[in-house]
Amino acid sequence: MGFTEYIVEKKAVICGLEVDTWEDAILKGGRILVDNGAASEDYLATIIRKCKDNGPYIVIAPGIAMPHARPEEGALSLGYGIVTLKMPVSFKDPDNDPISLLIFMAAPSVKEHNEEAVSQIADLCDDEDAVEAMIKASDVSEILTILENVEGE
Amino acid sequence: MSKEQSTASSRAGIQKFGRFLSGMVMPNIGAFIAWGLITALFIPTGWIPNEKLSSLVGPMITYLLPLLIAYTGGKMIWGVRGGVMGAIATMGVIVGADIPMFIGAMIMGPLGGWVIKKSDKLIEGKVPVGFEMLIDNFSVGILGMLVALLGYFLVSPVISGFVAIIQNGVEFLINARLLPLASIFIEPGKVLFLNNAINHGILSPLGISQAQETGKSILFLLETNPGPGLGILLAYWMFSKGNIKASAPGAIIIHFFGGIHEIYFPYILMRPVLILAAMGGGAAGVLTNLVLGSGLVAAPSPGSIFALAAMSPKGGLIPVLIGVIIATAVSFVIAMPFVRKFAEEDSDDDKLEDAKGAMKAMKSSGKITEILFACDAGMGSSAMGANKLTKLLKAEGLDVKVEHCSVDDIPRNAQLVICHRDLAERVKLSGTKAHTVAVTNLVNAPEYKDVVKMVVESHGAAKA
Repeated sequence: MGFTEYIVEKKAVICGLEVDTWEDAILKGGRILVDNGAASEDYLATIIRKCKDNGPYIVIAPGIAMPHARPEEGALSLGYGIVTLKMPVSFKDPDNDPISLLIFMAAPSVKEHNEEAVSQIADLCDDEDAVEAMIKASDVSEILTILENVEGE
Repeated sequence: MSKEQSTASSRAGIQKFGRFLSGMVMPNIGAFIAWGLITALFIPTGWIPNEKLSSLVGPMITYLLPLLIAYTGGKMIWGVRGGVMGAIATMGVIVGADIPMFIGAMIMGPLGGWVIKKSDKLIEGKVPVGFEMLIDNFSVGILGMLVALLGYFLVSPVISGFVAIIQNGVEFLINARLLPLASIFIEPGKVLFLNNAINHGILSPLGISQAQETGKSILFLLETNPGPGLGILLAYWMFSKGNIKASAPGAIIIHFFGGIHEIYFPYILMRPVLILAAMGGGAAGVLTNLVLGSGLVAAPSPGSIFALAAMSPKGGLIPVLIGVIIATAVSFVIAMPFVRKFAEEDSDDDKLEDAKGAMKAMKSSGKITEILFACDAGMGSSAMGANKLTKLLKAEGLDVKVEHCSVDDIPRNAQLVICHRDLAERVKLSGTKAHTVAVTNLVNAPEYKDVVKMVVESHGAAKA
């Protein structure tokens, strides 16, 4: 299943989440994966630990983080989630802070997180207008509409 | 000139082969040591015999150690998939033979890796989206089964052939009273794990009848003399470098005091020419024993220096010890120049490769045909980056493959690796000589422009 299709079908979106720290953002925002049965609580804890050990590897572009870990680190089934933050937080990445958009991802194998989904996420991140609109959006349906209107290159 | 070139390239080939063998064996020395300790401690003739714990010995040497070597060998050829294939393939020869299959593992492991590499290359890009996992698993499954079957049916006759050659050779030399030459068959036989077949199959029965007549027999000393192995391990300890050097003292203790000769076999398997040292040391030991009239009253087991001492006849200890010392010295002296040369070659090779890598990066002369995106898991960030870069390169009309993988799986021969800045250190640790570009914004890194430019230039240079 593609990224966009998954998000739309499961309404896997949290809009305007209030958090104090980046750890908080991963734990609270990551509920979206846990609630959909895509990842265990350990998965989120692992992401936080790895960011502390290796640096914020999950920050992929200015303002955007893609919290994910390895399949064997607690991914239960394929799952995605979009979370926007009410107030941006620092992920301790001077080049890309502050972060307002989180794209959660869990996949039990490299193969299931396929090129189609990768491509859709890349298109979204690439579309600066869409990202900005998503961060400003006031509810879930608005975010879904923006997502569906992201055009591939 | 051309002759010089061809000797140089064949020498490079031999060096490469030697490095491959040690690359396959060396990472697993720890497992050999674990097995050696367990064996020395718990077998019935060990230090603290324990029937239950000694049941670890058989499965470890029959399955664990050969499979580890096979996995490592396969992985060197074609990553984890190659390793898995190598292990499957090796099961065929393990079950097909009734001796520990180390040579088999060193052949089947890389062979398995090679088979799946060829198959993967053949179907690359032809698999419909969504079927990758299925095809990946079944190609390893089906090819693995076939290679395992092949190994199973081929190995048995080959092993029987080896056993027959070595048994006949040893028997012939004993009958011809050319006892020292028996080492020429015994030492390779040992390293092929035919030690028990030789010792208990040929030497012990003959030795027992001799000992009944004369009270002792030299035949008990032929295979059990720890000297030849000790000499080789000492040479490694004194003249090699790095991990191999560091592992040698532990191996010496297990071998010489614990009597577990198998522990030195991998040190020969990774540099097969050292069998000459074992043969020479063995022959010198036997000759010494003949001259001094040394012998043992019964077969020492295991072949530890203590067991040899305990089985020496009254007043016959000194000749036995001299036989061990001479064997050690001769083996050490023969092994020394080889081990020295390997250590030099290895460091020269490393320097050469470093220099080559630097040259390439500076001139970026090689045509870049493949770019690798690396991240921790090899599926999230790297997939994103690879996706974006592919688009950029396509826009330039460049035919360059962009793959993504985990930092732990970067092939040594990668040309250009891109990774998140936080992972750059780990990319270096992976041992790749590739030019590495570190980025912080995976979606729209300014560095991508440089990469595209680099690729364009490399293609232009290659055309011109």
